[in-house]
Amino acid sequence: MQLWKKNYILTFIMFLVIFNIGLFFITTKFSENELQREVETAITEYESIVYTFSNIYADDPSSRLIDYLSSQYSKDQIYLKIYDGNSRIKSTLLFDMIQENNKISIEKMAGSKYICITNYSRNSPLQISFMKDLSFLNQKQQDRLLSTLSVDFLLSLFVGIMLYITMKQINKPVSNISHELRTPLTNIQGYAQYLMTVKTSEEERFFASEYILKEARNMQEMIDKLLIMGNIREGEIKKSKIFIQRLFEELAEEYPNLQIQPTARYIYGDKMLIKTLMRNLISNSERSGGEVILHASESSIILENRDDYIDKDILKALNKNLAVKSENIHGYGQGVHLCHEIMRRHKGTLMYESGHKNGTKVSILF
Amino acid sequence: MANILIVEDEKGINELISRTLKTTGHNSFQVYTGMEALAVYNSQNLDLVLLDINLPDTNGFMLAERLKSTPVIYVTARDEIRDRIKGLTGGAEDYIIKPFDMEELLARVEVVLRRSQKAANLINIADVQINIGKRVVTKGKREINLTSQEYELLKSLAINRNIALSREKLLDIAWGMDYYGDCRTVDVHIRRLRKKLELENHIKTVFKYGYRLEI
Repeated sequence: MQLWKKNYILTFIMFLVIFNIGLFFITTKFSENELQREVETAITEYESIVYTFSNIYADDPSSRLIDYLSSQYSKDQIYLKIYDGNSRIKSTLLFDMIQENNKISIEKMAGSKYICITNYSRNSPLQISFMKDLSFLNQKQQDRLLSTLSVDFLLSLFVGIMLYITMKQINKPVSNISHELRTPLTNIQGYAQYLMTVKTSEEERFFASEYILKEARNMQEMIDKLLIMGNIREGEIKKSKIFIQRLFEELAEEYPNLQIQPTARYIYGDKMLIKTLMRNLISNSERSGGEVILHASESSIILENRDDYIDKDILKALNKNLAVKSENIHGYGQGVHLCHEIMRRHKGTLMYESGHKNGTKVSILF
Repeated sequence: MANILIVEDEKGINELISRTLKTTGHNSFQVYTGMEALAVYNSQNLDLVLLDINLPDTNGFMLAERLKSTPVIYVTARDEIRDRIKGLTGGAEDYIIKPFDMEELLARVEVVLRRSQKAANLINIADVQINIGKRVVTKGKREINLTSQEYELLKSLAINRNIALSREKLLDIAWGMDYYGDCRTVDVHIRRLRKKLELENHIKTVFKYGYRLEI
C-alpha cells in the first residue's frame, strides 16, 4: 500500500476515535443532566403532593378527595402510597418499593425506570411514598442517540472524503515527480553500467558519458525547479522595481538568438522569479525553432515566435495550467506549471495564443 | 542471432538496450511508437519484442495483443502489482521493471529465446564450440571434459559475450545463490577454463570487477 494511503487510514481512524469518544461523553453528560432535572422536578412534585394531601387530610381525614387525586396522579404515571401512622389509606404503587425515610432512588423494574421518593415530614400527619415512571426519558434518549449517530455518520463520511481528496492531491505531485525522476535515473544507471562492463570504443565511451552528463543535468534542472516551486508556494515574494530593458538585455546575453525591442517601461516583481519565468518561456520557444522576439507593452511583456504553432488542445491545457500529455512535451512538464505559479504569486496571468499565420504569442500580464 | 524489436519511447533507454543487445550479437530494431512497432512487426521476421507499457500513441498491453505470434517481454517503469498480473495473464513471457540491470535483461531475453527455441544452441569461440542443448564443449574435434561449475561459467560468459560479469555474479551462476564462497574461487576456475580451452586471449580479466568473454 502506498504511504499516503496508510497515512490517510491512520488519520481517519484517529479522527473517528477522538470524534466518537467526544460525542459519547457529550451524550452521556446530556442524559445525566436530563435525569438530574427530572429528579428535581419529581422532588418539587412530591413536595406539592405532600402539602396538598396533608391539607386535605387535616380538613377531613375521611375525604374521598385523596382517593380521587391518587387515581388521577396514576394516570400521569405518578404512583403514590399514603399512610396515616400505621394504617394504609391508599396505594397505587406498581410494586413494593424499599421504604426508607429520606431516600431518593432510581429503581428499575421490567425495563422501565422509576424514581422513588420517601420523605416523611414531621409537619405532615401523612407518610407518603412517591413513585414516578421515567420510561419517557428512555424514549427521548433513544431518539437523541439515533439522531446523533446519523449526524456522526454523515459528518464522518464527509470528513473522510474531504481528507481523502486532500491527501491524494498532496501526494499527486510527489508520485508524478518520482516517476519523472526514474527515467533519467534509469539512463544514468544503465549507461554507467554499460561503460563499466562493455568493451567500448572511443565513440561509444563518449556517447555513454555524454548521456550520463545530459541526464544528470536534466535531474539538476528538475530539482531546481521543484525547489523554487516549493519556496514560492510557502514564502512571501520580494517585489522590487524591474526595468524591462535591463531584464531583456540580461536575457539576451544568455540566449544569443533572442531578438529584443527597446522599451522604457518597468514592472514590480521578484527579479529572480521573473527571470526564471522568462528563461523557461524562451527555452521552450527556442526548442520549436524559429526566432524569438521579446517586447513590452502596457503592463505586459510579450514573447513571440512566428514559426511556432501550438495545437488547440495543448493551447487550452497551457492556458488552464493543466497537465499536457508527455508525448507533446520535450522536457519534464514542470516548466509551465512553474511559470503559472510565479505569475499567480505576482497576481498576474500568463496567456498563450497561437495561430498558423502569426505563430505563437505568450503574454505575461501584470 | 535473434531479431529483437525494441518498443520504447524514451530514446536513451531504447538506445542503451539496442547497444547492449548488439554487443551480445543480437540484431535489434528500434522504434518509439506503437504505429512504428506494427510496421516493423509486419515487415520483419521477429523473435522477440521488448515492449514499454506507456507509449505515446497506445498502451503496451493493447499492442501486445496484436503481436500475438511473437514472445513479448514488458519493460516498464510501473511497478504496481496490478500491471504485472495483467501483463503476464495477457500472454507476455516476462516483465522487467525500470531501472534494471543489463545482465538481468539479457538473462531474461536468453530464457525467453530458449523457451521459444530461437536461441542459438551452438556458440563458437575461436575453435571452441559450446553445444548448449547437449551440454557438450568441443575444441577442434575433441570433446573437452568440464566440471559442472566450469561449464556454467563458460556458458554465461558466452551468452553475455563482450559484457563483463562480476565475480559475485559468476559465483551465483555457477555455485548457486546459497553458496557463500570466496570470489577468488571464481578466479581459480576461470584460470583452469582458460588453460583447458586455450582461451587466454578471449576470456579477459576486467580490472577490479570480473571477467569478459570477447569474441
